[in-house]
Amino acid sequence: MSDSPPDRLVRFENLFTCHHDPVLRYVVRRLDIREDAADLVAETFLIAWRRLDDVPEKQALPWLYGVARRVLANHRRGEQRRHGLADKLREDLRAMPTVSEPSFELQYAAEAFQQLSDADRELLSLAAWEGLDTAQLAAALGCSRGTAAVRLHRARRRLERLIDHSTSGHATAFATRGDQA
Amino acid sequence: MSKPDTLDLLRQLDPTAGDDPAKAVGDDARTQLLGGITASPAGAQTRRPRVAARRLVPVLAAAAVIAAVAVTVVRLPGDSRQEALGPALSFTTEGKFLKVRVVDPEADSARFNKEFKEHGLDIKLKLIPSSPSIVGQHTAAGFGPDSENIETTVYPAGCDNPPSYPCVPEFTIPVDYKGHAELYIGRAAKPGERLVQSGRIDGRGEPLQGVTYVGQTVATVLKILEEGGYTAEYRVKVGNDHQSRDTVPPGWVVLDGSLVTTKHAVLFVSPKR
Repeated sequence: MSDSPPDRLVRFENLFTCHHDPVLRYVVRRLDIREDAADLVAETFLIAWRRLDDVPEKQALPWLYGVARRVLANHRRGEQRRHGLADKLREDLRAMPTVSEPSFELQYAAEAFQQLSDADRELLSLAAWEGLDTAQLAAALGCSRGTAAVRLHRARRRLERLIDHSTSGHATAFATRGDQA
Repeated sequence: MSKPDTLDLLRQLDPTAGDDPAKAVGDDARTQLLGGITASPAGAQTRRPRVAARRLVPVLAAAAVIAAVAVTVVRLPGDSRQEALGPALSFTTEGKFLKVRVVDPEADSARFNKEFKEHGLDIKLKLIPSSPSIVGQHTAAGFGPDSENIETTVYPAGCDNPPSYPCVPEFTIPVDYKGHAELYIGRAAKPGERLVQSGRIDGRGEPLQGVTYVGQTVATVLKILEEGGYTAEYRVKVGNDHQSRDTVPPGWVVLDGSLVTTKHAVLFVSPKR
């Protein structure tokens, strides 16, 4: 499908308006320095603008997450280099967030999460933080729905095993949480 | 005894929970970004070089401003200075690829772009204020149809900075490349200027060149910085994010760092090694 330039502009503006914030959150969650997200969000939407005909109508956001994932990987390969994009966005993001120390029990989950492979961590993050279901995961990762479901299941099992291992001497905290859940 | 659901646990680790970054983004930032993107060449609509080249200018406001500054610096009567300086780029053909090497990293955007144009390439090199160790190096950002076909490496191959110097960008471009691209290269920053990109803080020309600073105390590293006329602020990792601090206990250790202006650094620190 190829739109006339005005239609194309409207389509992109809708895409940008609807999905700017989720894409920004996606990138911020995976960066150490929040303001770096400005460049990566800009790059993600530049790619979307350039490839607007490839954006699936029903899975636009998971598709954008897939693009952002590759942009983020390029950023990491570049060893945190920055380039001049989206100055105002960078300025707005410069204010550092108020981050609270994770609770004692959550630190075990955080540590276990960090021990997972990059692929497992990304899969679980997409499910937990971006709230994707298996169909959306499949769209974001470019695999079949069945494959996404199996990969998610396995990643969850691996995380559970790591948490069990890391909390073996601290079962009380988790038991208390679990009983409340 | 039931265990908490793993996804529920992870939700509690969401780095943006309770502090949504989208709330910090104002309308101006959104408008600038949307306007910049839609002013850029758009896939199928980029086959008219004159129009597209003109529309490239406002692609990214920051980059455009940086380029404009560089151009202003050399806006002198005549081109004698440029000619006296020799070429800024070298072009060699190797099979199906054109190797473009930056032989004068101090050159300005106008010289780079003129030389690309002379070789029939619609490629813009943008100069980005950078910390000393990566001046002249590429940052490999290219936006345009097929621009991903341009490979960016360094010359001599595999060089780093330090130890080998000069270590300059090299672009490998298919000989039949017809698209647009914008490539970014580090330039020296003006005194006090905010850097857009930074190299390692112990790299060549950086404040801690030659210093084994990782694991040293904040007091030790800060003393070295202050002797060089630098100031510092700090980042402390909390959960999956970093908190900003103006001061931290002097006994904390330094894990990483980078310059953010020509005289101000950010140090990533931790209470323990």
